[in-house]
Amino acid sequence: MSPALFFKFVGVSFRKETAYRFDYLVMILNGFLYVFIFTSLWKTVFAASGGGFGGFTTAGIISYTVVAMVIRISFSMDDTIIPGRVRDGSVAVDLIRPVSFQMMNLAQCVGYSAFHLTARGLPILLVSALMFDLHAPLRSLPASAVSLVLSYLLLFMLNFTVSLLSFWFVEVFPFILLKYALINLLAGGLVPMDFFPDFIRPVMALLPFQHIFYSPAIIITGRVAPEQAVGIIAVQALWVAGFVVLSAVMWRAASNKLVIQGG
Amino acid sequence: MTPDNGGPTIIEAVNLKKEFTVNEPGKGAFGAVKALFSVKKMIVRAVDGVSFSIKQGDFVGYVGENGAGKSTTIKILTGILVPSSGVAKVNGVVPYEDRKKNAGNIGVVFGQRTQLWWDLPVRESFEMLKAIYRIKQNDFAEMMKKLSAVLDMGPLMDVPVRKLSLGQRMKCDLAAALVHRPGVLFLDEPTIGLDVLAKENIRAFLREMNKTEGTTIILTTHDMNDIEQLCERLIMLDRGRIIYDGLTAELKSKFVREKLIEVEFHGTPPSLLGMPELSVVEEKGPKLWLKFQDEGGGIAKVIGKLASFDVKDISVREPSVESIVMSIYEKTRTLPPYVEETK
Amino acid sequence: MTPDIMDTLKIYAALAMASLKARMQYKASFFVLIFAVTLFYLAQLGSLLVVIARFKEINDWTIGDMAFLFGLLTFSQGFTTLFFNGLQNFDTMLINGEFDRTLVRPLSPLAQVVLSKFEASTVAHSLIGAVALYYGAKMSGIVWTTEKMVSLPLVVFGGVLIQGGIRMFVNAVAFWTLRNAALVHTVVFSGREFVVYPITIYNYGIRFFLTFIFPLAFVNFYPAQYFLDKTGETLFHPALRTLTPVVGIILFSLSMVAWKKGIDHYQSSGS
Repeated sequence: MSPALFFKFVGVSFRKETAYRFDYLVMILNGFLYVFIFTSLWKTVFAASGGGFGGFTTAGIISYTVVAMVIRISFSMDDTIIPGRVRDGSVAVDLIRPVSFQMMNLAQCVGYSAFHLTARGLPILLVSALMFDLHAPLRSLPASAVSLVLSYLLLFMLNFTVSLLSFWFVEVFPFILLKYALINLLAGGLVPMDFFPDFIRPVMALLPFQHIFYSPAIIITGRVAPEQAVGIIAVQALWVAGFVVLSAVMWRAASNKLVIQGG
Repeated sequence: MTPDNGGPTIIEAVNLKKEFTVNEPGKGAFGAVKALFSVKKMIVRAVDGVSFSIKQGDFVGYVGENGAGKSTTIKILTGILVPSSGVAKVNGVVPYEDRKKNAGNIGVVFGQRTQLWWDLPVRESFEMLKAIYRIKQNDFAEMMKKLSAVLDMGPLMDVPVRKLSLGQRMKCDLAAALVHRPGVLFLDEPTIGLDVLAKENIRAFLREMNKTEGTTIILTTHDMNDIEQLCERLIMLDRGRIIYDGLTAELKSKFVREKLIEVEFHGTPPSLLGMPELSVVEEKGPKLWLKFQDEGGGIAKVIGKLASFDVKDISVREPSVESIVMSIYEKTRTLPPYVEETK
Repeated sequence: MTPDIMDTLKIYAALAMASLKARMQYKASFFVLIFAVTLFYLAQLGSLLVVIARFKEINDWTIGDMAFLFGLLTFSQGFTTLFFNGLQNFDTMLINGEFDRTLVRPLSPLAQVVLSKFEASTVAHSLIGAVALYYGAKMSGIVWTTEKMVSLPLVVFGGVLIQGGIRMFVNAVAFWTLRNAALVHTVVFSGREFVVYPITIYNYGIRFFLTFIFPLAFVNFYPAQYFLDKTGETLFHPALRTLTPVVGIILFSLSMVAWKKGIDHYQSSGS
């Protein structure tokens, strides 16, 4: 797919999101709610335990919360597109088009995310910066950028592969719910991995989830120095590579199923 | 002139008006973002002074292009919308003031949406309706028997609604709208998407209900055959105003004096230069289709003249209601908004 | 008059049954949904437990207290969802004209919408809630007096009215804005996040908000203070601990008024 075509898809997706202004205002509110709830929570428990915990200072955990939340919001993707198109059969049209299905989806997600980044993520970031004392060391910037790109791709492919299950299962909703449950618990969107009981952490390190929000957030807030970040980024890259293979295999299987069975 | 069957007035609309304020969408990418912050509004007059009175037992066609205001009028009469001004009464009840009472007196069929319970057998839907409309057991049983017989619903009663074909579903929806014996039936596009046979069955059923039960029927449709076959009376709406209210039969004589002549010659059709009163609409091999403006019985002469050529077959047709209606709409395009109202 | 009410109740019951029967046509997805919801809650509970395990207490609320708090919320949420599930995707109903049908029937449109879906799988919420309540009560050593045992169903009932009323309110907004999916999601799902934790962790403004404006705190926090015999942290007034059913009735009545206003607006401005 040519970059020009890619960005055309991105633009269409972006425009689609601007149609609902009431929704957009509400969703900003939603983001703030979570920031609010969790910064209150951490302040309370950190005060009780003397101002520092699990390697975080109070200021550090607040930075983490805001950054992770902004990432989470900006990484919003529309999960319902593929299952919807499979259900009503219009996915057949996508197969006829001479473009990579996965790239087209990626472009749609990027457009969608771009909107949520600018319309929701940035306002929340700006207001939070005014309300709290945020840390984001400048020298972590390059590592942060790389880590963010990788985690976006990782989340995209996770969503993509789960959505592909709609080719086999009419009720794909439970799988999507399961995915969300795992992400909510294990990706570090709200509770950083450091707070989890020590015996679980090695297990979680073997899973891809923590690399979605936790890894980029700790790099951005300087919780880990850029030198250590390299190791994390390497693991992220490995997971991304693995998912590239998985999604390619699944897509081949899915499109074959469609062709043979006719939906 | 509207048909006077001597029945009491059952639907009364007096100078109904309905305005909507609509948001103007932003143009282009910049407009879209701008629209997030401020929005321009426009006022649309969907119904602009509509008045009519319908007598009990009438079978009225209510016709208009999309956006002409017919759905809006129906929504006012069924209690879904409140008019901006004007008065409407159905069976003595003001629909938007006494919604529940009105609902008990009317039956409504929305062509594209069923009122039946999608996942349940047809029978259960009727049981639900019996409860909702508080129909007494005797009346219910009697009505179900009759409807079931006329519409041939017997084999359908235990089938889940989602498994019915469109034609079968429409029959059940019609029955559902009538099971509580309403005096007035509103039909919105009931034959859309149906095959010819199904359409005929529905039409026969409606004729029957109108004749034997005296049900007043208001039919909105795009299918002019429905109008031609069922509706004695026709109300035409354009841009919120009535442009025709009278007998369907009179529509032809009042508006258009065109006749369509289909001629088949033995050989190639000859040139008809000597007959300027005819215009060629179409030509296919030995067949010609000709249009003739009949201003006063000149048709006999025309046929006589044509017959002098080497004619194999001639037939004369009156234009369909559809073509008449279309040409009326075309005419009103060039006229100022209000056109004469005939009574 | 009374036979009229009886008739209406019978009709409502029939509507609910019809929805349930319709739902049960898809038995497989029923169980799948229960499984999925259970999993989702366990994940949420997991996050909560992680925090508790690390920090031992939140403002003197121990793990047992927190479990009880969570349980009370989730238990009443189950019943709320059971009865008010029909409101789900209400904005779609408005947009595609399905709502018009309810106006054409001689029955309350609100009742028809609410009863249009009767999702029995929501019992999963209540099961999880019940388990959390049980263990929470045990771990915190609640002493079950007769008064407390009678209060529990009342509190749950009040909690259902509050949460149901909130859902009705939030869906009534659709009459004006047509699309309210994001609002519903925020208010119903994100809103509950506030009261998963004891509201003592928030500043004065938020506590006021959750008590007097968006009274979610009455669903679990204030009653929990009562059941757990929490001393030493009175917010605003000690009487608040007992007011849940009252707040529920008031809020529910207000939401019915809002709904009526919404229908009036719909009937004058179309869609």
